[in-house]
Amino acid sequence: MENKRENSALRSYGQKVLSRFKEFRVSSTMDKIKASVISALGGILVGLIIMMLINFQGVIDFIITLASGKFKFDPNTYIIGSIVQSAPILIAGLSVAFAFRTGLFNIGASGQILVGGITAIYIGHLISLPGPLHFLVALIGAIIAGSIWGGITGTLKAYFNINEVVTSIMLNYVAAHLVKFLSRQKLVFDLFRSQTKMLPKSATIPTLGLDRLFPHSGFDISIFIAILTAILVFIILEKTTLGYQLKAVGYNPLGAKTNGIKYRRNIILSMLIAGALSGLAGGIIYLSGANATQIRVQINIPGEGFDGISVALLATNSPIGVIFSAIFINFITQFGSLVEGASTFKKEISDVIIAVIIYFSALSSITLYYLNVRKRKRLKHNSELNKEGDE
Amino acid sequence: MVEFAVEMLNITKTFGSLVANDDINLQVKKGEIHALLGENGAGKSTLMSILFGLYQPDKGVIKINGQEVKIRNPNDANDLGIGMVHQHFKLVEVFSITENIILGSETTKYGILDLETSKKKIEQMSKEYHLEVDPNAQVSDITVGMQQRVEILKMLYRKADILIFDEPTAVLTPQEIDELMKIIRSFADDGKTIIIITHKLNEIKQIADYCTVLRKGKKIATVDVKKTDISALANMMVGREVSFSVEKTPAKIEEPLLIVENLTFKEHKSNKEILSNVNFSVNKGEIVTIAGVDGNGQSELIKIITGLFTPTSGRVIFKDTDITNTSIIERIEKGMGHIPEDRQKMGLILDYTLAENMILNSYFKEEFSSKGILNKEAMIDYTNRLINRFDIRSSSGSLSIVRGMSGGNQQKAILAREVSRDPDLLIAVQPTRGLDIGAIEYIHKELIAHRDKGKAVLIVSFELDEVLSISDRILVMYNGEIVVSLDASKTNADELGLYMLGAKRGELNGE
Repeated sequence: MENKRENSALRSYGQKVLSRFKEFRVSSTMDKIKASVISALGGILVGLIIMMLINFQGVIDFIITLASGKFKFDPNTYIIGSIVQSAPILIAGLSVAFAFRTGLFNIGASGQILVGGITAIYIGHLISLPGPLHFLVALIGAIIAGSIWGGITGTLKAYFNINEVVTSIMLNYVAAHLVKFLSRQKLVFDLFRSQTKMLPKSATIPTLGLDRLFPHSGFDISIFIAILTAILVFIILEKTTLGYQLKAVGYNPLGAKTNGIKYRRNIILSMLIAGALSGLAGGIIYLSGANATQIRVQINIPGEGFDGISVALLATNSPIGVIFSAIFINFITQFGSLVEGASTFKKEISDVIIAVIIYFSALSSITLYYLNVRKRKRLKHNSELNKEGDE
Repeated sequence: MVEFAVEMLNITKTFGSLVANDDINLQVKKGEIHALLGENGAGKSTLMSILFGLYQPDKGVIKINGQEVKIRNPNDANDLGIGMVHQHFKLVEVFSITENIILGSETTKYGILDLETSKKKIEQMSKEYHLEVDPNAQVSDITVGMQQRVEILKMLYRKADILIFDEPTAVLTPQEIDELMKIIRSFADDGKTIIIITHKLNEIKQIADYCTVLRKGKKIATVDVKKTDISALANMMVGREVSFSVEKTPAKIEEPLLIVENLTFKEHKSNKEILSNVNFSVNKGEIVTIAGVDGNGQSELIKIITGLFTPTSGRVIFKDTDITNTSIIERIEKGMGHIPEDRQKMGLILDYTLAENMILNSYFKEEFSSKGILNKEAMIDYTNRLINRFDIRSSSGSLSIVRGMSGGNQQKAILAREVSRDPDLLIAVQPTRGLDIGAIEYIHKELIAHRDKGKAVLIVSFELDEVLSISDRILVMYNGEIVVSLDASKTNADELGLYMLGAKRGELNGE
């Protein structure tokens, strides 16, 4: 009874603590990198402990197998492959990070990927064009389709104030059913394999011979497209008036509106762009030649859209950070296959590690808080000379 | 030996490099009304937060009734009989007054909430202390004045006998202020100890016994209020001579710039009429102030003029054009400047830098961007010029994140942004709310200078002193209507107060 007294005072205390955490939304780049690296290392460490706890013998076996050389470690598969095949989750991560930076939680990247993917597949089968041009047209089709799908969410939010999390999740299922229907049409469906037909070579991602240079790596130009896209997103967010408006609306919708920035237009634009990025990811996934994913009969919401959320979180929504976090997350996934090949573990162990990393990065504001506490203490020592402060 | 109810000895508190309280001593006798005076950032709130257990001092001792105590959190403060009415009330809007007062110390019967007993107790307390409230009313339906009485009852219900008031008069009408002063005086007569945080000098003179002045985290003096005059208090607080009267020449009124015609506004959901048939105009070369108690439609009126709301009926005419349905940015481009009521939520993007905030409504101009790419150097140059001209202080100049700046400097930043665009009509809602004397003086000067350039200025203010000193013409709003238009030089606070409370209606001369 006693300690329940004066809730209001406690509440105001709570608000003070909360506002202290909010400060870290605008912490320095160096702090963000530190937080991400700490999250990653912490995740790996805890993941390894979990591995040892559930199957200690398995860990020993794994080390022995690798050391004895019985298991052939192919750098093309595990290292080059991890890097070059991270393109889809990299671009999906950009989509999520972009929306985040403008105040929106795009949980519908998966749906946008599917819609983009099916559009790319249709263009691949419907039209015939020479080499890279065919691919390019299919990719642009994917971008436009994803953009429209994201735009639905943006429009519903802008005009009817419907929460984008709800609509984008529901649109994932709408997309899954729509795509299931479209993928079973005669034109694109392969009855014997119960999946969409293989695309003509002209529509697949050019490899520029990189796949032959690094066999088994699945190397094509998608990783370059992804990195260029990251740089483009960085420029839009940091250098352009468009990014300036979008972020202003994201940080403070009422403040932006009061100063004449068009709130609705910017919400829709933001989701159009986030959708376009996911659509691009969809194009990359379904147009890749050698290890192309085909759309199967069962309803399947692609995991890349959700991986994108992890990638964006770990990168604290920085577009350049997304490049590294996507490659890193893909490494962990590949590590799962490696472990499965060389021990009694299942490859899903990598999901456990990724999950721990995500928990760590979700708590990164706290990590940053402690980093800053230490910094403040240091500042305090130096403050004797300089007592001015800012008012 | 004198028995002190509250003693705070050698209190020091630092936040990073900022020394908020530097070796401060505060001693308050039982039954005394003690004012704590200082500018924003002087350390008043920090000191009281320490007494209320929200912060821990780095150094120093607190004694309550002669006993050394440790106040680790507000619960400890409550147990010691310390109560606080915060400047922004902390009530649950959807609860009744009774529920709000007992929240956290509920009376129960067999584990079930016993509202009847509590209600009776509150009714009795309400009579005893002359704090009129209706225990059954819901907080969202009652006036600000009554909300404050609820907060006071909340402290008394918890048997507090050391009462801290943080800027208690900021939201009240003159009549309500008088009432509050009487109540506070009667508490002191009952032997309760009172500490009032304020920067309003005439209130201190009116009610306090002693006054402790803080400046930049240091204690300047504790003085006997009866033996000290207002200007001496002001000088101690600011550290220099302060002019109280706003110096201005008579207005040179030209043709009307803004005309509001038959404006009516109904709330969408409740269909309640917030504004009824409002008519007025603002001319070039004059400062028109809309006075009134908060919540009488001023906020909605300004939102309609600036384009945030669309009226139910009526027209807004600006520079001979009907702008009722044009976008906000078109109005800004047409020459409207807006210092909004809530500087943090409406005026600024707190997570943006000062430079980014300075171009919030002009980023698309050639000066700051070309082909959609922002020119960061131009932004920073421009901001540095404004920083110098308007004396905006922050930790890292144009690249400071605005969230970390003090309230006064945030307001100066908005003022700088709007005034420097040289708008033909400058609208300022509560431009000096929560600011200290120095900053108020500065902002008033800028507003008058803007008028003297032949521009129109429209102000909304709840502070009577401000209304009377800065305006050329005063419009009083009551219950969604403009009840009178007065010549500022021919009226006084008492007359205004009567109009503000709806006790009197007047002529809308010249409208």
